[in-house]
Amino acid sequence: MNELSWFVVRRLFQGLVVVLTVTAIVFVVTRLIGDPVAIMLPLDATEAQRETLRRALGLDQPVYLQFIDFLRSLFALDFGESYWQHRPNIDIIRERLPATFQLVGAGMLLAVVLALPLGTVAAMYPGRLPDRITSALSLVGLSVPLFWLGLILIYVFAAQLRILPSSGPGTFVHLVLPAVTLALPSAGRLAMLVRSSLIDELNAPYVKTAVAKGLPLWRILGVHTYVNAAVPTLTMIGWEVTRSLAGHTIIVETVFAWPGLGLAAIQAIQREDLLLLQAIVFVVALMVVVINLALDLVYKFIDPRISV
Amino acid sequence: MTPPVPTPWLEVDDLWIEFVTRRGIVPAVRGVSFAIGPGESLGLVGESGSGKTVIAQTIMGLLQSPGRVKRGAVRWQGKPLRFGDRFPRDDVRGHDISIVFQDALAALNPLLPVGTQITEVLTRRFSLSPKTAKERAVELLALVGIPEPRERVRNYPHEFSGGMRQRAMIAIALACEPKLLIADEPTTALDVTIQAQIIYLLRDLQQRLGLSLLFITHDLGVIAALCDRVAVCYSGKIVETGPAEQIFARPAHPYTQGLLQSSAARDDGRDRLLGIDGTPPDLLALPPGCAFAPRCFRADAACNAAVPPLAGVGVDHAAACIHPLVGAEAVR
Ligand SMILES: Nc1ncnc2c1ncn2[C@@H]1O[C@H](COP(=O)(O)OP(=O)(O)O)[C@@H](O)[C@H]1O
Ligand SMILES: [Mg+2]
Repeated sequence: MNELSWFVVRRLFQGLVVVLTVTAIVFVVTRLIGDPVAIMLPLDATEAQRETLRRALGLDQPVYLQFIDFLRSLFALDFGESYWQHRPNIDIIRERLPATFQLVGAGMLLAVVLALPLGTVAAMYPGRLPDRITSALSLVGLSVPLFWLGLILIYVFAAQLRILPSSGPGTFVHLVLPAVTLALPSAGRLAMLVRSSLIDELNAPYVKTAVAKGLPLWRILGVHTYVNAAVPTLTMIGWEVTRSLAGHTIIVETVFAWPGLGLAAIQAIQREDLLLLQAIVFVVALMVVVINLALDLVYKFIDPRISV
Repeated sequence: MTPPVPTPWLEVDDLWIEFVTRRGIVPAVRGVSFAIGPGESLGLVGESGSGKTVIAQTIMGLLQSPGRVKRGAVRWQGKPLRFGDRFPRDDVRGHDISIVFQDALAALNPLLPVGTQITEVLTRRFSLSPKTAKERAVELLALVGIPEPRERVRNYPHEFSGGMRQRAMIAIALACEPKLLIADEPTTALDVTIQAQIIYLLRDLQQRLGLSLLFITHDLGVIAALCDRVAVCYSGKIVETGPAEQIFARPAHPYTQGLLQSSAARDDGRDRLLGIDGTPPDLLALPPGCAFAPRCFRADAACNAAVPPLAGVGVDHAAACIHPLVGAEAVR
């Protein structure tokens, strides 16, 4: 087996450990929050009914057996049945995932498209007007609370100008406001990072060599400094995607009634649908692990010095 | 009849360079002039901090803020070169003049294969197709003595040893087929045997390709093998200049003599600076007279009174010293 496959295997194993840890925490927390039987049955249920359900859910077993059972079903993608919708949780997740992917995909793409040119221009003229404007904009972007930004955008573009719908699923125009809301703070953070990485790289000695070789500016910037700034930038993009999936989408999807996983999580909490919530947390953790594994592979591809 | 004086290719004419710092304006280069003709090689020598790198980078158009050219000119084949652009581009730098830096590991892009760092010059300069450029890159690596060049073009800088990396750096500098190669302490970071190999390579290339060479070093001994002429730099000024054999046989400036002695000491394995005590003066507080006077065993009141100009001490040989070494004194 070559070096790279070992690397992948090791990373997969590490990812598995992360997923197991998250799962264990979720398992414990759900059992601490309350007795599922008490939540699932009406208040006037008899002790016999409770006992039956407890047995059906396996809650009469010792805790470690319950955990193993829980794991086994998770890896079979069996997340149990939603108490709220009375259908398999996996179906709900399948239904909700595309909307979240659309939102995060569009939002992050927009963030990158905004941040790269802004950060680059700022880095080329540090301390000068383009840099000041970019830095000010970035600061505003990254310090505005998401829900507030969402509400302001709704107020301006939906309520006042009436050019974009404020909420709901469906067409591309419905995606615009939530994606912009998700993108702007990320774009601010990303632009600042691109700026500082590029400023560092532009001062690196290899840039002197590139200039001395008479290379055109586009090649010095677009090839020489970008490959060197790529690892920190991709790390940041990965971090933004992770944060969107595991947090920001909950806010944005709620503000815009965007029917994704984040909204499902909020609804599950409101309806005390612990199994559904558990399933969502598991799926998100899995995605985060996959994203990080993919990034590690990309880093190795960009920087051959990274040892595995 | 005297032979016609060849028109120099590179002329550095009364160059003054300063750095604006918080402590004040640092006059790093103070009125330096020299010229290099076709196929000629000039050794620029001086202690660390004497302004050699600043001169080389200014010639290449690489002087960066807070540095600026206060006065003077650099001309290539009679044509004045520009300075001060952050990303300068003209048809001289990277065409007729190229440079090899001291620290090849830092000077090469760590994330691009060495081959790419050569071919990007070839495609820009000669509009070669990618395939021809790659062939030419292999040839260039072979030219600088890198074994298995066909495999090595794909390697990254960190996969080369120090000496091989410096050879690759030289190959990159040669890719544009320059007329003048500037080498700024190209061997300082290498150990002694490798140093000798690189010096030998540069001499060989210079002869085979008819290159002019500006070779920068702090070790006069290295120059003997390589250079026709020598310019000795001290605190931003040229204090002695002349044909290499004259400088070695009859140094006129006490500083040059000190450099020769310390170079000889290095060769004997005695690693200490013989002949020169003390350190160069603070450029922000230069003495009114000769900058070397505070360290000079011959200095007297006259030396501290006024800055001595470069004055002839022999054929084509000049020194900036009121009491130049003569006759037996000059023998080291
Ligand atoms: N970026 C800078 N800022 C301030 N002073 C500088 C800078 N670069 C060089 N200098 C000044 O120029 C002098 C000469 O430096 P340098 O040319 O690197 O010396 P050498 O190459 O001969 O060792 C230094 O002693 C320092 O005072
Ligand atoms: Mg130097």
